[in-house]
Amino acid sequence: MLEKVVAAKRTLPDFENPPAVETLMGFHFSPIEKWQGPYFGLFWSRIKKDYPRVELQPPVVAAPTAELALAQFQSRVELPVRCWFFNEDETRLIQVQNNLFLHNWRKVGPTDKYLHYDDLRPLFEKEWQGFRKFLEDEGLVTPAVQLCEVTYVNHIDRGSGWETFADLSELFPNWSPKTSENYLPSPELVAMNASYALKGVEGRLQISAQPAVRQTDAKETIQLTVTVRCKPSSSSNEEIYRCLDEARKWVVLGFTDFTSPKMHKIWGRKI
Amino acid sequence: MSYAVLERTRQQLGEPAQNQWSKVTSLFAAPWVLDALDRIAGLARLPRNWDGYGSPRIDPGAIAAARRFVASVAFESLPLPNVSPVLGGSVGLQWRYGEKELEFTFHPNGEVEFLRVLGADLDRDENMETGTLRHEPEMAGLKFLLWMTGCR
Repeated sequence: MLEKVVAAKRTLPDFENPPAVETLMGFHFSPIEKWQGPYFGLFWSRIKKDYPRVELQPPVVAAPTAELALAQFQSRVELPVRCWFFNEDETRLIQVQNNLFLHNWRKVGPTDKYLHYDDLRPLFEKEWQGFRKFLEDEGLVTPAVQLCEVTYVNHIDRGSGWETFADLSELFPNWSPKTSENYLPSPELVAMNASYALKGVEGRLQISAQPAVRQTDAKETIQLTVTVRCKPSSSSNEEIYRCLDEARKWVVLGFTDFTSPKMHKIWGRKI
Repeated sequence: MSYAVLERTRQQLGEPAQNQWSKVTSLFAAPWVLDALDRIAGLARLPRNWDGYGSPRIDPGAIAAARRFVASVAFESLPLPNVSPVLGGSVGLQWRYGEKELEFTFHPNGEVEFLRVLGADLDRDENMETGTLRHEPEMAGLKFLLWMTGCR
């Protein structure tokens, strides 16, 4: 019943079987002052019941704004560490580093149900509020959010709408296989990267289409990654969540615009 | 497989850390991978008795395991492996790098055997090592491959 109510509210393009295998949302912020390695363990002790496994990872060095780049440069003497906290069935992940908080969802089995943004956003909010409360209890400052990020990772497997890279224009209408002199044969591999400045919001949408092999089952796929990072006008909850929703809107509309109606049909477009 | 360890290895080889979880290997990062995957997949076309000695067809599970292995160790610094059918329905992958050599055999029962050749003189016992990769074969295999190319 609740699902029907939520679905009834959806106005953005929606698909029965979207190719998304992973989504992530979160915030980039200026490095938290006085953050040290032991805080990772203290934070984990708070969430261990829901996220029982942890892994250390090298940090993401994104620095997509001048403020973040400067802050990252100034704090580089600190031990560069990122922590991944996994939930029980390893479908969700929290990533923490001294200037980043992300929440990932991934599809594990081929029959796993796609978790919609409407389902994930409340989970993310809960975890972010928990993180903020942790910082407050430890006497650390509230993060100054610089960027809100939403990323969708899609796998378009060979055999699902395409067989060779000569078929690429049937997936992505902006790709043309035409050449000036008709000398070149059809491409063996194609990769694309595109960046778009957002309209009405300070931020960018980046799309990357990469030919790849999935490590879990060695299937050939085109990994289509759509990322939106936008800058909130303040770090207030209202503003950063609004910014996150805006980022997600651009991801969905950007993905739909970038891909073809033929593929939308294969994925079962509902709206 | 522990992707955290792989992630560190990738860093060692100059690839930046990512914030996405699902792992893929870019076909541009290692151009030999597509060839290797095609050759492994091609083994499925061999008929029963392909060797004239009554060998069964190549096992689909062994093919899938060999393909997964290749996808997990797809680094540009590695050469294209020799792909071969093996008696009993198994798949063999063989890498040569100077005097060093590595062979992995993917069996229908899921076992992965290895043969490591450490020097040209094969009459010396210490120049050869054989065994079974029982736990996380991709990770153990990657360590061997890094040894072979001199990264560790």
